Amino acid sequence: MKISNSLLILFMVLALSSCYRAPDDTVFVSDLDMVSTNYSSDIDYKTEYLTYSIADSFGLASNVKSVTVDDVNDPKFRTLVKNQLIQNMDAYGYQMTAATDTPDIYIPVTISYINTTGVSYYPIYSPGYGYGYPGYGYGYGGGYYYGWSYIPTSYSYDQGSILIDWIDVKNRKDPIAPDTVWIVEQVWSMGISGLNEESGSEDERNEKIKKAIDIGFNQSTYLKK
Amino acid sequence: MTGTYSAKSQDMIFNIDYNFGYTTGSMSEFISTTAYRGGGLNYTKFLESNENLGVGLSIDWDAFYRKMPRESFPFYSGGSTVSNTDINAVQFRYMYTLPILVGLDYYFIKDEFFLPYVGINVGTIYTEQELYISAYDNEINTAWDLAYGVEAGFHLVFGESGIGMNLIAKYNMSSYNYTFTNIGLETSNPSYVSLGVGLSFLMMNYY
Repeated sequence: MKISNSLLILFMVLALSSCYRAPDDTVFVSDLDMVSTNYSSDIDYKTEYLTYSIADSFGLASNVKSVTVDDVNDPKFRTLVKNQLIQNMDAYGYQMTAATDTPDIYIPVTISYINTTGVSYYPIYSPGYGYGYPGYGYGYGGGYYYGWSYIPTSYSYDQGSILIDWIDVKNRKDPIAPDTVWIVEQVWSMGISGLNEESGSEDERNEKIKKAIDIGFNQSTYLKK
Repeated sequence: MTGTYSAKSQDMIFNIDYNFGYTTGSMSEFISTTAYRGGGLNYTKFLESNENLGVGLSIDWDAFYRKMPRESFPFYSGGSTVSNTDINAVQFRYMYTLPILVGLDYYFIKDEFFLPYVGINVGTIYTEQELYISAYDNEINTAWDLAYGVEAGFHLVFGESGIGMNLIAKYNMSSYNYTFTNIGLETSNPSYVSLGVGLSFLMMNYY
């Protein structure tokens, strides 16, 4: 039997071209959630620090005008995050203290809501970069800088992040001038990021946040006393 | 049974296959699951000097994919070999291979409807390796490398139609080497088995 070669080859090419990409049919939005924790190899956390205090109000980093500082300081949400932090910190052997009692670690919480073409974060550590820490009280306002900076990379999603930091108050450096602030460094951080889902109840979202905070501590066993 | 085939010069076989891929060696550390997407084209022309020997040209495509379970793992920033970051995320791993090989095939039986053979191949391979870590990081590496391998299989011809089916197992190896520094995973000299099943078109002279 004779077969037309060109017809045969055409048939083969058509059959083969359908095999190029594996379809991403098993990707769920929740698969894109991420918890990252950053630490310094030079610090023995469990012996260095004991007491901690969590910021009273949460900071906001957003490019969406409709999201306000009040939104991220919704009492229910704030209590949820703080309680989960306290639970994990206590379980790891740290003692909560009042902010005015000069804790070893001060823990600010920042909510980031980015609605550009989407952003995710590469944590880059910049050593020695402190942020302002008042000599008296905890005037923790906006406009501070992290020792860790997050280099954005483009994705087309709305992304919300919770950034939890450990600020080393214990080893603070004296103010350079009398009227300026203490110099402190960030020694640990947790970044929880997920895509904004239209669907899903508040309870589901809250459970997701609690679980993510637990994951952050579970993967940081070097903190445990 | 009437009519038998005899491989002579000008005799040739085309076949088109659906491929299943099975990783071995260091490639299975990157992806351990079977590839269900792939295909191959083979062309064999028999030699005048030895009717049992054929020279072949083949092109294959195997698409390996693995969605890793969500887990925590160290992340290495900026090519560093020291990690100061742990990440809990889902990894999506892909590896596409496109070997283009020339081969020498030996057919044990030439006068029957059942044509088993073995062969050796050498040529080039295009490899595309991809890693996605949730919505956090992604990296794609592509390369052309030296490829070589062995194969064994058979054609089963349906009567005198000149059309048949085939089952071919190819073991492909390549000189590809790449390290995803962000998760510290190296893929070196990957190898895999590509199992093809498909249609054969035999153009052979009758006695």
